[in-house]
Amino acid sequence: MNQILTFVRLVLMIGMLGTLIACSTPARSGHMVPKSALSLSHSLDSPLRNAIAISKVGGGEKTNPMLWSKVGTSELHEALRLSLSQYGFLSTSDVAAPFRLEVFLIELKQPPGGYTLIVTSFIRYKLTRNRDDQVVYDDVITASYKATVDDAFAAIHRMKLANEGSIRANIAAFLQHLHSLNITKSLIQ
Amino acid sequence: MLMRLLCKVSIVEKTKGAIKGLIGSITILIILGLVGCARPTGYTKSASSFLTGAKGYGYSDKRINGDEFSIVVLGNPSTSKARVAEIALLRAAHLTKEQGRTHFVIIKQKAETTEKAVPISIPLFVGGVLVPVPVGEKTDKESMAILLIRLLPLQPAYPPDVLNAAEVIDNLAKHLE
Repeated sequence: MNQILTFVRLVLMIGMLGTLIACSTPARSGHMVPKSALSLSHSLDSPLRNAIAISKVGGGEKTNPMLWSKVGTSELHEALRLSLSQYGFLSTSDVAAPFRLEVFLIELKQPPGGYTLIVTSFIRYKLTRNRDDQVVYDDVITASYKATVDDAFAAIHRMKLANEGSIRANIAAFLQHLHSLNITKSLIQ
Repeated sequence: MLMRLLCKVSIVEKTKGAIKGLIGSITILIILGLVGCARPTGYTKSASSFLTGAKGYGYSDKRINGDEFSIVVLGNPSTSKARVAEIALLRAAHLTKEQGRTHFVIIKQKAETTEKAVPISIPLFVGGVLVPVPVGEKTDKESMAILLIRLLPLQPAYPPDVLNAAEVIDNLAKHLE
């Protein structure tokens, strides 16, 4: 009986110590870049190739080390820049780009806890043609990611992975939408 | 032999006590669970969890830029998509008045069903201590409403497709607040 009590107390103490030692860090930009959203040939064909500049990114939150990991605005901005660059959409010049992209992280829905953490991101993407301010795309994309104990034992790390996965899936969906946009080359010039 | 009999009776009595305690704990948990989930989410600002910072049920809003705002409503599993949409619209109207305006337009609206994995635990006595032991997981469906709005500047007249904040509040506040 005493041994069982001691064991239970030891487990609880280790759990509490682990909670104190582990600190949350924000989602990492490089981990939010989709790996295979589009094939290279798809982006080469797109009329939006090298045509988009990121003009504004917002809605991110700073991570409190004592609470769940969040997605910061600067990390999201960098993830978008890397993604658009990787798939050939990013313009080489912010000033001369035919289109500007505004992105806003409306909500990052996180569970309060659990072994399986499902995070859902809601991001608004607004693509505007610079020469006449015509909005060619304006939508809110939803994407979820599930992180289990197999991905990470520590809940804090698991949540970060779920955040990154959700944003990665969201950006991947946006890239697919970009590719599907019915924009002819004549509308770009 | 008498000692053996006394020991047997003692073990049986202790086991009965433990089983009664377990049944009592499970009953209390079931009642609390039913009470917690029975009522749909009302018009309430979502609060962040003290332990994790995760947002709870209710509404929240952010300024996107200038006069554009986003409103998000998360409902518990007992809340319908229609109800979360109404809560979002009511919050949009209140937000409009708080910003000193009278009318707003809806830029975008979305209704979503999201999932949440909920661990299933049963309380067990381990060495005299009640410990929740995880035995599985279930998935709850939660309704969410997203509303993007633009507040209009104060002017003498407005187009017919614009929403009047005061009218929205009059129509929705009675059964939501």
